[in-house]
Formats: sequence, structure tokens, C-alpha cells
Amino acid sequence: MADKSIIYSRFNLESDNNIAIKTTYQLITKTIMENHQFDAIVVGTGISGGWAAKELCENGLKTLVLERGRMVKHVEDYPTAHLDPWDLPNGGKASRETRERKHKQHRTGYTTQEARQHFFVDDLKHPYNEERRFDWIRGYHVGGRSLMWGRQSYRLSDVDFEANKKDGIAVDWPVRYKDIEPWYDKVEEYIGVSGQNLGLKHFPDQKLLKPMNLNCVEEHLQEQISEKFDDDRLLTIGRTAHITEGTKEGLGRSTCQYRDRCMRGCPYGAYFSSNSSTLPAAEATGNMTLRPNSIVHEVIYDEKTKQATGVRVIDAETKKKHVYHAKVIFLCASAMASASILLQSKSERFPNGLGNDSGELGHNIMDHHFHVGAQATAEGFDDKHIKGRRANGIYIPRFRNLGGKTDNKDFLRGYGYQGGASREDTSEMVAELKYGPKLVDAILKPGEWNVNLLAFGETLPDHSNRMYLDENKKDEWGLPTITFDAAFGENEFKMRKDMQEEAIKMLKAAGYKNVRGYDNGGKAMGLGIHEMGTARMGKDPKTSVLNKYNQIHACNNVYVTDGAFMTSSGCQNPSLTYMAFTARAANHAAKKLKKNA
Amino acid sequence: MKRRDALKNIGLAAGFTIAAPSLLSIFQSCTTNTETWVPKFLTPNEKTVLTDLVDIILPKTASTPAASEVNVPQFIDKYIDEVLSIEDQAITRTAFERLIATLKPNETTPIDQLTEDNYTAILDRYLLVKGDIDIEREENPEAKSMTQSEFLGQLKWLTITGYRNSEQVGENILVYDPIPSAYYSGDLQELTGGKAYSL
Repeated sequence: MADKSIIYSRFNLESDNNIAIKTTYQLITKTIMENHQFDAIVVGTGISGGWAAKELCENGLKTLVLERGRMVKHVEDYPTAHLDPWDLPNGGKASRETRERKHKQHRTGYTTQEARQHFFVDDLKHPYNEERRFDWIRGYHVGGRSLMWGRQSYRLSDVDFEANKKDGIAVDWPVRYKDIEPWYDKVEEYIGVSGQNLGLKHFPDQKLLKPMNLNCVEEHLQEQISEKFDDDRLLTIGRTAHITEGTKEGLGRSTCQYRDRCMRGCPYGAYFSSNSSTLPAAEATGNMTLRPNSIVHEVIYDEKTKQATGVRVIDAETKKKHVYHAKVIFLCASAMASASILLQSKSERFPNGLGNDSGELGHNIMDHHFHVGAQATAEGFDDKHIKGRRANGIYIPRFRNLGGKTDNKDFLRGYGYQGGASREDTSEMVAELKYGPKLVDAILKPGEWNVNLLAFGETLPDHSNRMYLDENKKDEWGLPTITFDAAFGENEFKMRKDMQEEAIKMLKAAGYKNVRGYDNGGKAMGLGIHEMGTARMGKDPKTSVLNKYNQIHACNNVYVTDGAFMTSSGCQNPSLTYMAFTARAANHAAKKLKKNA
Repeated sequence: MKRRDALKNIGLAAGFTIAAPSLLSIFQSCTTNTETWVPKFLTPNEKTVLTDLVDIILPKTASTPAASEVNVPQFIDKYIDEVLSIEDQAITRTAFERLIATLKPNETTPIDQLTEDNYTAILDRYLLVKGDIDIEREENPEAKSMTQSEFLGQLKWLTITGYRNSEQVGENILVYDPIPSAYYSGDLQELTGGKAYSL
């Protein structure tokens, strides 16, 4: 095996120097201009694109990786990673200008903060339309949202894969847990996921690094929940894609330092991102050509061979048009962007968009519904505090509709809780003092222990939840913009009642004070930043877009492996599932190409 | 343990070398310290009032600097200028005018001759604490403008935010732990000596 560290450091060296980058970039561009033929093309460099690039390149395929945004190099392009609040203007608050330019990104309340806003899109430059409100939160750069993701990593189980069939909802998943299990194993071992295995059928064990610690209040809540509830619900530490022991392959990946500045990019490479892990691995093979600033807007379909032959690209900066050819194409641009590319890929055979025989392309949008749960104050821990800032919380796995006494007749499926306990930054006395030395004292002392249980619920697929293209509203590259028309449904709203009630019950059972439930009303989809379902998998080409290997049914050299493929949403954070399915699909594609070669 | 000792020492040293000053001397020192600073949003009168006010809210103590010594007025001026919406800036301007008019014993009182009593009288009367009711708001729930109490509450919050987010307080007064490298819970006194963290 080649000494990867040498190749990795070359990757780094090239990017150390602007002139070197430019030369390399020109060299790559020149090579591309001369030879537009690749084995594989990957569209997108986020969670899925990085994995597709790695697996295809490691299988020996010459792979062109296209990213619509700018280059972001691991560590050196994380300009705010080491900044303290006083190094940032206004303590890091989002400025008026940022809020205006990124008015939709600002709907989260956290993405526009000064330390991280550079990783989120400018909504004026990248507009979309809303028939019903949809919060499309994203970043256009190499690494995509793998740089800013929440890192919670849970597997789906057969409870999820069998759910649609059991309930007669939408279509059945064409796979079961046993098909995906080895791929979950593979990606977890590579990226590093920390947490605790519990041996539950509906919450499968994983390949885990040592768990992060619960704090004293969370340990108390854990005991209380197990003691006071007889439906087997339990609290565990969140499973998160952080290295908690040893190292992992990539561009210098080491253990978590508990700084909680992940969304700025991690200089220690402690959490998984494409930039620190999969893209360097792809680069190390010598088979990857990475081309940033490349907006893919169409997959080219050949009527004779009934296969895709390549993609059309607009250079984001020069606006020049390019065509690149390959034997296999992976769309990993995110659920919405991949569906948009397919909808723009019209041909005689596919007048409504490539692979859209079923009419399901762009439909069945799902996101997890949340912003519902309960908070409380935990008394009796005033003499305790924590060391470190853990970018992780607690997890209460789904305990609803698993059979027996867990069944609830008001709604289908279930939800899990995230959150945890922490001390307020300042004493509660701040609210009771007006001014003077006592107030100074109060703002320098830690406050109450606050406990938060925040539920994340499954959303049912619904054909009427859709995105489509507005050909009359073009962006600055002359491409149609996306219009969203989606909302949470009746099942979600019924579930929310239970999500709040059970959170209140648990906090009360634990004996906490000032227990207060909350629910923002499930206003709009998107804030979970878990867009799914726009090109769902299924067994029947008449009712689904992709087959069980993520191939478009009627054009099987196009794979879609981002959130678009999700047939149902589960209530688990989905990125790990995208990685597992992507790795599986990429190896399927590589095997098929080798057989045909 | 070492960190706690170091913190104690910082507190002790500061306590011995800096005697607690009277409020009047704070006013004098502030006006000199901030003379060179040209605000972006605030008028000269607003600057004077804000500088006086933040030092009454968070005065110098035996071991901690006054708000103006860690550039809280500059923080608030920049915050209003860069963070607030244009609409909120206008509301803030009106609220400032009203506050200044209320502060002055009579219309001709020059702004630099306001006394500590003038400020504390207003804070005692209008700044609300937990459980208090804002009568002005109750009388006019739909008004877009800020009530006196809301404005003073806002200034108190901005003062605390600016103070805690200053380098001096963040690195030397609060417990500064930029690279913790571990996460666990433990005894408050052992971990921080009873203090809060800055990050």
C-alpha cells in the first residue's frame, strides 16, 4: 500500500500556497479540457459525494468530482476556528448585513452567526421560492454540509425499513437492515462514531468508539427514567461522529478537544467531514479530479443506449459551459439539488425529467419535525459544574409504537429525544438585580442547571409535499429556481402532542422544578436540515424513482445517493444512512463497470 | 487545582493594587478614557449618558474592572450600528431621547452635569426585575416604541453581554478554557473556584 501520508501532505502542500493552487487548478482544468472522458462523475462533495468519490476512486475508477461552490481546504480554510468571542465583531452575533443577505439561512437562528456564516449560502445570490414556507439551509463549498452537520449518527432498523409496508403508507423500502448492516459497519469504522451500544432491536448496535460522558444531572435523569417508567424507555449519551480515542485515516484526524466549535471546521479533524476524511482518501488514489465552481444542471441521456453519457456544467465564476462524460454518474448534490438536476434533464424519453416515469420525482419531501419538548430546572446540583464543552447531548431512543404497551393509537411511527443538561452562563440573580457590585458578582457566577428534552419525530411521506422548478424565475446562471410546496401533516401534529407530554412526564418524574413544555407549532419544513424523499427508492418503477441500489430504474448508470432516496424518514438523524447507502451503491457501480470492462 | 490558584492570585493582586473608587471618580476617569473614541451610532450626548450608565450597572469592584474600562460603551455603539435593524435603530434613538429628557432634572441641565443620583433614580424607578410589571407596556401593548423599562432592560442586557464578551473579562476574570480536551462533571469549587466559564 502506498504511503498515504505523503500523498495527503501533497494535497496539503498544494493548498498551502495560492500560486501552487492556481497552477494545480489550471493543470487540472487543462487536463479536463483535453480529456472530458472519465469513468465516473460525482456531483457534490458533502456527506454522500465524499463517500462516492472515495469508494469509486479506491475501486480504480477515474473520477471527476464536481462541486458547485468554492474550494475549502481542511484546517486552513477554517478562518474562525480559533476565534474567541472578543475576536469576533459584536460577540459573534449575526450582523444586519448578514441577516439581510442570508435571510432564509437566518431562520435557524444559529447559522448566520459571525463565526460560521461564511459556510452558509447567500440567499440573494441563490434564491428559491415558497408556495408554502420551506427553510432550505445549505452551504455551497467543497465539503458541503459535512462541515456544518450535527454529527449525530444513528442506524435505521427493520422497524424503519418495514414501516411503510406494515402501515400501507407510500411504498415499501426495497431493502432491509441485513442489506445495509455491513455498510453501516464499514462507514462507522472509517469515520469514527462514539457512543454506547444498548442491544436494542429497534436501535441497532453500532461500531462505536468510547462514549462521551453524561454530566451529573444527565446521569440522575438516566436513573430516574429507568426507575419510573415501565416501557423500557431509556436515556443514553448521543452517538456522534467524533473521534474519542485514537485516530482515523484522513488528513490528520485526532481526538475531540471538547471546544464545541465544530460548525466552524475542526482544526483537529476530530469530527468527520469530507474535507478531512473521504476527499483526501479519494485524492490519495490519484484517481480523483476535483473541480470546484462547477454547477451541474443536466444529466445527458442517450436515447440509443438508454444510458446517461455525462453532465452539463456551468462554471460558477466564468459562466462558461462545459460537458463532461463518464460511464456512471452519482448525484450527491443534496435531496433538493439532485432532484432539481434530474427535473432539468429532459429528453424525448423523459419529458418530465430523467427517471421520472413515476411522477414521484421532486415529491414526498420529508424533514424531521422538532422544536417540541420540555425544559426544567434541576435543583440540588449547585456545587457541581462541568469541565469542557461537549458538542453532543443525550439521546432517548424511540419508545413509541414498538408493540405492546408502547403502542399509541393516535399516530403512526415515533420519535426520539435529544438535548441534555447544562448550567446557565450567569446566575439567576441577574434577573433580580438592577445594578451595582452584586450584579457584577452575579454575572460572573454560573447559574441554574437547565434540562432540555427536544424531540425529533418521523415525518410520513406525502405525495403532495413537493418541490418543482420555476422556469420563469431564473438565477444568475440562467437556471430555473426551485419552488417548495410542503408542510407537516396530521400524523406529525398528533405525534407532537405526545412528544411534549412525554417530555413533561419524564422531567416531572425526575423531580425537577419549573417543568415547562414547548412547541413552536411545527411551522414549516426544513429547519431539521434533513431534506429527504425527492427521488425515493422502491421495487416498482411505476411508483418510485430509484431501485434497491440507488439506480434510476430506467437509466441504471445514474445513481442518486443523497437524502433524495429515502423512502421513509425514520426519526434518526439521517447522514449516516446516506453514507452507508452511498458506499454500497458506489461499490455496486464499480463492480458492474469492472464486469463490463 | 493550579488554575484555581492562579485565578485566586489574579483576584488577590487586583484587590490589593486597585482600591475601590467612588462613583464620582469613575465618571471622571470614564470621560477622559473615552474622549478619543468617536461613536458610529451614538450622538455625543448619548455617548456620555451610556458611558455613565454602564458604569453604574457594572461598576468597578476590588477585583473587577468597570464596564467602561473594558469598552462596553464601544461594544454597544457598534452593536446598535451593525446588528440592529434600521427600524430598531430608530426605536433606539427615540428611546435614548426620552431617557435623556427623563434624566435631566430640568431642560437646561448640561449632560455632563448629571449626577449619580440622577442615574440611580431612573434605574430604581424604571429598570424592572423579575416579577415587576411594566405599566407603560400594559397601558399600550401594541406600541412599537420601547417603554422606558424595556430600553433600560435592553441596555442592561447589552452591558452584561459586552462585559462578558470582552477580552479582559473573558480571559482574566471569568474562567478561560479554550482547549478543555475532556468533558466531565465535578466539584464546582475545584473546577472553577465558583466562577463561570467565559466560553
